[in-house]
Amino acid sequence: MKRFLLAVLCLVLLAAPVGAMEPGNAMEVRAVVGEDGSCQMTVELTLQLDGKAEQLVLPVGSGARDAAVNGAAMEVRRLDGIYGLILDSSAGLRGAQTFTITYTLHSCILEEEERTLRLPLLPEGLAYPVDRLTFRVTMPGPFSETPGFTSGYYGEDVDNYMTVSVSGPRFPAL
Amino acid sequence: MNTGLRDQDSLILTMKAPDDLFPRRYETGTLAPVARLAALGFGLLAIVYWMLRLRWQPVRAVAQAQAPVGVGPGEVGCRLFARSPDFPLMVVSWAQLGYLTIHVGQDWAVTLHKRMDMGNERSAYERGLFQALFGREQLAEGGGAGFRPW
Repeated sequence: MKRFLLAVLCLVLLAAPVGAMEPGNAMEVRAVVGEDGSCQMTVELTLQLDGKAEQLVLPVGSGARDAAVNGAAMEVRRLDGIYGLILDSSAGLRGAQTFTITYTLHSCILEEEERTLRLPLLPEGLAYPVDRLTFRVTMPGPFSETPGFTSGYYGEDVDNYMTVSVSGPRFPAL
Repeated sequence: MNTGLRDQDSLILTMKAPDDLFPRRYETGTLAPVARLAALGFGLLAIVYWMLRLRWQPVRAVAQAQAPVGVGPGEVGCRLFARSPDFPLMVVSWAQLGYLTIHVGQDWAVTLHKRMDMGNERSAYERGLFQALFGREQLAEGGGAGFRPW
């Protein structure tokens, strides 16, 4: 009986760190919008990779420049209509990989009937699902307008699946 | 996010961009020098076009054998050499224009017959001479023998 309890305790101790890691893909986005309409993006992306893919496309917004991954400058390429950073590994990407992506969007202001700020927090093109997404957007000053959100899958109903709060000139979502 | 996003999914933030938060001055940043250069270039082209096609051409002297409009043969000497008018030549030109007829007799006596009055179609100077020549009469006689106006 003592041996059985000791074995169960060992299993619990071994399983606890695994549960604390919360396996899955996660993305944390920090965006600083300038009053000239430009936006400095910093994305911390953690992906659980199975090693099958030799190429990984990290999508960035259209018109992104001065891009870097983990501090190394990279060229923004257009692949099948998607602007992204392309990582290659002949051995395949495996395990939990964390990428810190930085880039600058030249202008996020759309000049239409009315001027609109359009900020791609998660540009289309990532081939992996994102289980947890948090973002923090810093505006150039206090504002009274209500931001709206659109998802490629959920559409405008994505508001129902997220929590948005505004504090000062910022409104973080957790 | 309280739920996950699928692969190939996206999340876009949109918000009205008020002018006080995003001033419009950045719109005139990059194109302004180009626009100024374009305006300067088109302005120079307009000036060149005006000089070549639209500007008044300089007045050039043109040689012509005809007297200026309104100047009779008797006044040509006045205009060219500041001489006195040639009255016999004016009479002949009036005859040519139909104001009078000239009759020359056997003894070279010259008689002028007025055919019509001279109106303001002629100059005041000519009208004065014409009036002095005929007065109220229809006939004016020349000097007789030895008078040869041509």
